[in-house]
Amino acid sequence: MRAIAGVIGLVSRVLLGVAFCVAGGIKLWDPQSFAESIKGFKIVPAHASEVIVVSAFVLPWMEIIAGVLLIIGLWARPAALTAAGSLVIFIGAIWSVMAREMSVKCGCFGKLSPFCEGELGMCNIYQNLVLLGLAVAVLGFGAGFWSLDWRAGGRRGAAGAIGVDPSARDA
Amino acid sequence: MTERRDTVGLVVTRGFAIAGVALVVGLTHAMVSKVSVTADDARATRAAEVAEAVGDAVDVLESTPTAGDIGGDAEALAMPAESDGLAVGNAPESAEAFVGGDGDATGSIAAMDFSALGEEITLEETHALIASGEVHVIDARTRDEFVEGHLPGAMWLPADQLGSGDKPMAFYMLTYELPIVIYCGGGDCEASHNVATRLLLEGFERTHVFLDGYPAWVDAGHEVSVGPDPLWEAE
Repeated sequence: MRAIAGVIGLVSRVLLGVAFCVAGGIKLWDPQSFAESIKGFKIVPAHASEVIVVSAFVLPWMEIIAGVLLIIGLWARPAALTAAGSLVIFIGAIWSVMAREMSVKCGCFGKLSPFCEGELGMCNIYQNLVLLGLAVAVLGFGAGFWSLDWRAGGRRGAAGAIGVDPSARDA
Repeated sequence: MTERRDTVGLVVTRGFAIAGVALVVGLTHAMVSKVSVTADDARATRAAEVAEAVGDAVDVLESTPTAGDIGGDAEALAMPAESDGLAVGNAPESAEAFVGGDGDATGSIAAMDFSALGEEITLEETHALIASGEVHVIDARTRDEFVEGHLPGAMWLPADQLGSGDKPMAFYMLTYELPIVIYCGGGDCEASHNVATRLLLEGFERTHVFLDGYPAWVDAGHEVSVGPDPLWEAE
């Protein structure tokens, strides 16, 4: 059972971490486009341009920091919690756009649209729900195998990520 | 039980710590960046980025074909090649030069108060606006239709390219100061109204829809340009 939890934790955090690093990196590569995407959502008032610009940098950095922590398996549960929080915000924003019947492109992966083409829609909701599922898996099962949390064990293991007791890894 | 509560508390605390670090890093990055979403600033930044590319595109104007060159109705579409430069400059160099072809708009230009124009405008008002040289003209039809023929100085900017994110270069050529005339195929065509709505959302308040559209312009015997938008070359 612990071995299964370890594998689930490993796969979930690596997939989620890579997705977040890619998404954050692409946004930081072209922050102007992402800022205009945020503006296009019309959630933040247009006159609060400073808030939009700061968001255009804070959100990608949050994705990258959480993504790197997830990939190396350090503080995996807190990183997954941060990722889950941002995903809930993204889903809420997309739902808001759809409810207002606006025509907006996602900007989730910058100019790339690896999973969902065209304007915002249910596809983007599903995409974020899948990522949210991975975050919940990390929260539930921990960082799993091959993580720094797993190696550290002890208190960090409990709070950081681990679903696998270091003493049992050779079992 | 107490240990589990401590664990959850530690996860939440560390989660906030991660968010805090991201906030500090993001704020610092934002302060040293030149990103701006204030419409004028963003447009100025974008315009500066494309200025060189547009400069290159002007060379293309010299080789842009006339209606006759592409086998169109040469009599109806008679437009000198140099007039295609309007697609970048957005206006004839002088109203006199523009209306010189048929001369019927000179009086109306002098008499017309452009600031009082309604949302929907007529052929005559459109012609006078273009002749004034103080206007942006947007073609909301398909790309192929634009290439076959468009109003002098028109830029191709259909509604589906005005969503969020990357906007076409033509959008960044627009200024708030000048009125914007949008047209499509006339009749039941909705494209021009869709573009007008989106531009209004972007803060452009002086948008006018040329209701009868391109067919009426051609039927009236007014000049048209043909060929691609030079801005395409710069994108």
